[in-house]
Amino acid sequence: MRQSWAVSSVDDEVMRTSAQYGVENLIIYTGPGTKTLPGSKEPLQRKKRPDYEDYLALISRVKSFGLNIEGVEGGFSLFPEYSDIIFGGPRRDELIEEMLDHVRDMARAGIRIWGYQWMPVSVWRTAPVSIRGGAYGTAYDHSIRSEDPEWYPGVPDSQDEEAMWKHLEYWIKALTPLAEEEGIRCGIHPDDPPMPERGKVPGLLRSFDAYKRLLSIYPSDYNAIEFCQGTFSEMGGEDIYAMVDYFVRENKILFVHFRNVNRQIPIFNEEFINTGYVDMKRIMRVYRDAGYTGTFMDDHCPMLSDDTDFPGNVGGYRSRLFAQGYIQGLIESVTKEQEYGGPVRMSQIENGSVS
Amino acid sequence: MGLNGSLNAEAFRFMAQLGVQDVVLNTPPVPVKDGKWELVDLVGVKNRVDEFGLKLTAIENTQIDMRHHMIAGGPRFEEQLENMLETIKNIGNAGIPVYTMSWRYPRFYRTGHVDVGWGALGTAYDSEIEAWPNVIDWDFSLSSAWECLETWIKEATPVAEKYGVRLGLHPVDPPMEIVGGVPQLLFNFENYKRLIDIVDSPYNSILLCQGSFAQMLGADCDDGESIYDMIEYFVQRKRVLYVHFRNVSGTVPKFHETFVNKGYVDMYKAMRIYYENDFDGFFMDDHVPHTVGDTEWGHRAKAYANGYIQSLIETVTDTPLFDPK
Repeated sequence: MRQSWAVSSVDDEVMRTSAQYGVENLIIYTGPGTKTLPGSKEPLQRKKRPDYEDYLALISRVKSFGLNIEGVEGGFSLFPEYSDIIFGGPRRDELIEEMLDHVRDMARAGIRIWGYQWMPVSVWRTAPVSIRGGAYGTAYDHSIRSEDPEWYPGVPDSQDEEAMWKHLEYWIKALTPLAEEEGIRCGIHPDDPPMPERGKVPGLLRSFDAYKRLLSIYPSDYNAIEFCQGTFSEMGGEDIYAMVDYFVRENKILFVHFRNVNRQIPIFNEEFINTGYVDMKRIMRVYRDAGYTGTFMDDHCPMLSDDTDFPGNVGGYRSRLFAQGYIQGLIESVTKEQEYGGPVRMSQIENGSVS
Repeated sequence: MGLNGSLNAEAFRFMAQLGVQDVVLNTPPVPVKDGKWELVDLVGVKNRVDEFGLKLTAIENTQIDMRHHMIAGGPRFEEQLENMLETIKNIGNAGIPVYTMSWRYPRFYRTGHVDVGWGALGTAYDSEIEAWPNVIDWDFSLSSAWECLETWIKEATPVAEKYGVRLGLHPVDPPMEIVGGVPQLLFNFENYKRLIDIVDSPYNSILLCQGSFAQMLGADCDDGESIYDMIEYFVQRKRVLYVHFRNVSGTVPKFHETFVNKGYVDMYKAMRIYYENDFDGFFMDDHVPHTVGDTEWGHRAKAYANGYIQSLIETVTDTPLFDPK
């Protein structure tokens, strides 16, 4: 079990901060759908998408700070130009071909994990709420957002859930053989918030059963999950500990978004990592006992007063480093508590092993 | 979490948001009036902390010129002793339950910094390059040093008991026998044992700066006097008020500070010892390395250390620090 965080930029401050604080594994926000050079805000020059050379340059930059790229995370599903993949439109095969070329380039450059989304309406939140000490956490209240007229270009007028599953199956069956051949494990992030429907678009990946169905489309280590524990813990009526145990044992968790929320849908807000309803030490023990070897990253962190911007998802440097310290301490503790055994007088232990 | 020399709003907001449960003010900006701190000023400081929904649990150190003759046997010993006793009384009357102080003079501290990785800087001490001047112009022997300390403990403990302020002493840092020509006492296990025996009372206690204790000669040896043994000894006797939870590379004569989880002390193991011996005080980050882009106070590094400390407490006690929302 290892620590990581996710960044959209590999600028000097982020790279040095990662190296100084022992954040040895990075997830980079890029991949199919991105409009900039990987790891930067620079627009693509005369290119339609980042290619093999761009990923090689990214990897070499990160390695020069003694760090490892654990994987790439991104979403193409929210961009209208790819909606034919999600909704089975006429340009589907051509677009899938483009996607697979992109995934192949990443894999050949050395990227081993690709996490992506299947959310044509993207992630939804309502106004942030004030949490401890006047910090803010993102929030969702379905009574406010359910009738939202917001519409997304590229989303057809009406959608049938089963038809959407067929399109997802088509995609998984096209992607997974290539992923196996090129050695890049792919996994999908859940619908966030995991509502049955948002803006008349069904949310497919919103429950334990839905994920079992996804994985059964093409049983392979290369058809897996971008395990946003935050979103899984938002799922209505599900047992987060049981889901973690199951998916780790099935070897389906590529990496973990280790964040916390106060409760499940339809109304919830994000919390500090150790003030939500999920007991983080308990769940870290579940990962350990089920044999998880991947990374944990902070994902979203509360917005603190006076914080400085971090080139990642919600949360600035201070908030993110608090979560990072917490994650590193938790990994160390649940690892050592096993090594040292149950309650014993630690002062009688010599050289780190029970005497 | 501690704050040094100020009552800065940004720092208090930061503490409130990160779930800090106890605030320690180190040398707060309380005016020194006739060599003392007055009750009205202390109440003001406490109210300032209260405004942010925080609890002022301890004050750590008064201005050094209120007490240097008392520590190092100077001509103004009696006067400073009286003023400090009056100050303790005022701290108690202000409702502040703990006062700790570094029993050391002069306040020479480190000889430089070292790069603890990718440009992060930790403070460093090396006796080979230390060239601190003599700072006192009066005679001061080892036996008079003990006399000063014993007088303080014997005079202050009853006052502390009466006014409800637990007192604790911080080690000399670096833990050397002589600093700036002045003989020191609180640099090893043996002298700390002697200290708590001067008066056997919970009001004569220790600020367990785990960093300074870990820097003591022999603290890294497994011979019954290791850092883990020292923690166990003082916690078992209920004499630890709170802990500076920081880490170092090694002991005197040469060491440097580093990230809380990167030094030679196994912090998880240490946390288990506190817990298994029913420690009822709190843990605070202390010095943190200076990292890229951080403020001088070290908001980022402090956030990281506090996240680490909270997870260690929660796993070792197997209890959440905060009620689930």
